[in-house]
Amino acid sequence: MRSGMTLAAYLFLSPYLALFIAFMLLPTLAAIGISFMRWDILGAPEFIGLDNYRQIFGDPLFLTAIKNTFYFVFLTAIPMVVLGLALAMLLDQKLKGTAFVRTVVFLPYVVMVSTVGILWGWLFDKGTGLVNYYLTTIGIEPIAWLKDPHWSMPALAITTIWWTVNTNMIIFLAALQDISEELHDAATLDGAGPWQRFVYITLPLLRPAMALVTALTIINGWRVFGQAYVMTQGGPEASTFVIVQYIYLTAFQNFEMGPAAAAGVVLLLITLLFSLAQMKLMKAI
Amino acid sequence: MANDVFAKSLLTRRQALALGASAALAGALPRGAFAADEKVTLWHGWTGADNTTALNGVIDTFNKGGKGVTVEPTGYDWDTLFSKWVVSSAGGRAPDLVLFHITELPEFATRKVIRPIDDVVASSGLDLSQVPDAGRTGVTFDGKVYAAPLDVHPLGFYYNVDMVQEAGLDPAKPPKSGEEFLEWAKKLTVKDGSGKITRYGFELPNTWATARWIWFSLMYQFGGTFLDDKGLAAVDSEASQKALQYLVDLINVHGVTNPEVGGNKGEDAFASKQVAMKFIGPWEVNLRMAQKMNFMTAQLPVFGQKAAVWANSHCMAVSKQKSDDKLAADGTFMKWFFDNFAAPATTVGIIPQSKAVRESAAFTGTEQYKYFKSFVDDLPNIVYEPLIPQYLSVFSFDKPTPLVTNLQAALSGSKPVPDALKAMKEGLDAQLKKG
Repeated sequence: MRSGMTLAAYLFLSPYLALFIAFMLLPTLAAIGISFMRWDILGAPEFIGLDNYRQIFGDPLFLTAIKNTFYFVFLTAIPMVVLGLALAMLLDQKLKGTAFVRTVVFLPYVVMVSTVGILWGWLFDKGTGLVNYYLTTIGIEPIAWLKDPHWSMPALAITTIWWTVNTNMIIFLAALQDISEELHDAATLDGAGPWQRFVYITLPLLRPAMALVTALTIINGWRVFGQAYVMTQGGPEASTFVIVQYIYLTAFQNFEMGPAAAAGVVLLLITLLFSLAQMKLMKAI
Repeated sequence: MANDVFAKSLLTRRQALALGASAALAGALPRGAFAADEKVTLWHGWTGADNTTALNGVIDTFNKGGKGVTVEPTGYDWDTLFSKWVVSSAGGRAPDLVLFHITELPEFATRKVIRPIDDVVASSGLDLSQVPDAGRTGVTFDGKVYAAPLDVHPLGFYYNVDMVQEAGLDPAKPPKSGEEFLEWAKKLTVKDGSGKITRYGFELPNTWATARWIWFSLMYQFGGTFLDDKGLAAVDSEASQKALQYLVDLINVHGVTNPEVGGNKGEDAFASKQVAMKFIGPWEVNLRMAQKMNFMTAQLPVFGQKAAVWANSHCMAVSKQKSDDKLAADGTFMKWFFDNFAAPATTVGIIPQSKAVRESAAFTGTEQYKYFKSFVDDLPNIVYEPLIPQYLSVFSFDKPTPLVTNLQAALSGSKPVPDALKAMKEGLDAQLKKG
C-alpha cells in the first residue's frame, strides 16, 4: 500500500521532474563542469582548473556587475515587499470594484520585458517623457533618467517594481485571506484598533508569506537582465551592467563559455546563500 | 465602438484562420512543380518590418524567376544571429548563406564558420570589379575573398530645412567646414524667455553608437587612426584627443548640443524637434520621408585637415558546410542579389557597392535618391573600422565595453578627455592582445 502510494506520487511528479532534470538540473551540472574548462563552442573543451574563476574575479567589469546587481537588489527589495503588502491590504477590502482594480494591478505582469523596457524608455525620456512632465509640474527639473549614471539604476528599479510588485501582492493577498475573520472580531471586541490588529494579528500571521516574498524578491533581483538589456544595455558608463548581462556578453559575444559558466556558478552560489537564509528564517518562525 | 473593435478582431482572427488553412493546403499539395529547386537558407539581421518586407519581396522575385533555386530567408536581430549561427555551425546545422557587416568578417573567418568564395565568384560570374577598392579589401581575409560586398552606408548630415530657414540660413548651402558648422549649430540652438534651451542645434547622444561614429570620422579627419601599426589602440593620439575634445566643447563650451537628448530606442529627437541637425546613416531617409519631415542631407563637414567619414557595409558569405553540394545554388543567388540590389538598397536605405547598380536608373530614379546623393558623393572619403578578428567584442555598441564606457564618460563630463582616452586605450589593448 505504502510503496504503491510512493509510486503514484512519483508518477504524478514525473512530468515536472523530467522537465526539471532535462532543462534545469543537467544544464546546471554541465555549466559547473564547463566553468573548469576553456571552450569556445566550436572547438573541444580543455580542462584548466580554476583559471576561469581567477579570470572573472580579476576582471573589473565582473566586479562592477556584482556591485551594480547588489545595488539593484537593495533598491528593489524593500519597496517590493512593502508595496506588495500595502497593495494586498488595500485590495483585501470588500469594496465595489476591487476585482477590477486587482486585474489592473496584475496586468503589467503579463507584459513582455521588451515591451516594458521600451514603454518605460519613452516614459523616462528627458525631453518628451511623461515622468519628467509630471516632475516639472511640481517644480522639479527634468532628469535624464536613462542617460545619467546616477539615475539609470533607480529608473530600472522603478520599472521593475511597477512590472513585478503584483506577484508579491498576490502571495500576500492569499495569505491575508487565510487569516480567520474571527481573530479580528475577537480582537475588536477586546478593544483593539485597526493599527493594533495589524501589528498583533495580521503581521505575525503573515510572517511565512513575508519570508517567502522577501526571499523570492531578492533572488529575482540578483537574476535581473531583461530590463537592463532593453532599456540601457548596461550603460551609461556601465552603471546598469548586471551579472546576467556579463554572462550573456562573455558567452555569446566573446564565445568564452568557461568564464561565462564560472560567473553563472557565482550567481548560483549567491542565490543559494539567500535561499538558505530564507529557509533558516522560515524555520525560525 | 467596443463592438467595432470586437468585430474587427473577429474578422482578423477569421482571416488568420483562413490564411492558416490555405497555408496548410499549400503544404499538402504535391511538390512536383518545385522538385528541381535547390533550397538555400539565408540568415540576415534586417529585422525592421520594412526591411524584412523589402528583402522578402526581392527574394520572392528571385524564387519565381525559374533559376532552379529557392531561397528561404530568416531574420534575427544581429546579436541573436551571430550566437545562433556559431552554435548551429558547431552542431552542423548552419544556414547556407549569411548576411552581416564586413567589419565582422575577420572574426567569422577566424572562427572558420565561413569559407572562402573565390571559386563561387568565378563560377557564378559575380563581377567584383564593380566594387570600390575599400569594399573589396573589406571582404578579403588572408588573401582570399570571403563574401560579396552588397552595400555601403556612410554617416551623413541631416538637417531640418524649416528650422534652417527660420534661422536665416540658406538650406541650399550646408556647412562644409567646422567653423561653418558651429555657426549653424549656434544659430539653430533656441532658448526661451528664461534662457532655458528648448532646442539644440545638433544631436550628439551619449547612448548608442552615433557618438562613436562621429568621433571616429573626426579622428581620421584630424589625421589620426584607430589602431597603430602594431595593431594596438591609438585612441590616445593627439588627433583622437582633438576630435573628442571638439565634440565635448560642442556640449560644454558652445552649448549647442546635449548628450542627454536623443539616441535611445524609441526616442526621436529629430522628429520631435528637440534638435535641428544630426549625423546618421542613409537608413534614416525612408523614416524621415514617411514622417513627411522637411529635411535635407549633405556630406559630413570637414572639421579637420581632410574629409573622412565613418562607414560600414553589408556582405553575403557562404557558411562552412560538410559538403559543397549547394555552392552552385549559393552562387546563383549571390550574383543575382548583387546585380539586383537597387530595390533592397532603396527600401533599407543603403548605397549599393556595385557601380553598375549604383548608377542604374533603378537606384538613381527613385524619389529617395535626392537624399542618397550626398552619401554617394561622400564615398571617396569613407573609412571602415579596423578589420580585426576581435571586432564584435571591441566595437559592440550596446555593451559597456572600454570603448563605450569611456566615450560616454568623456561626453557626460565625468572624465576629462585625456583621462577617458588613456583608460580606453588600456581597456582596448587588453581586448586586442587577447587575439
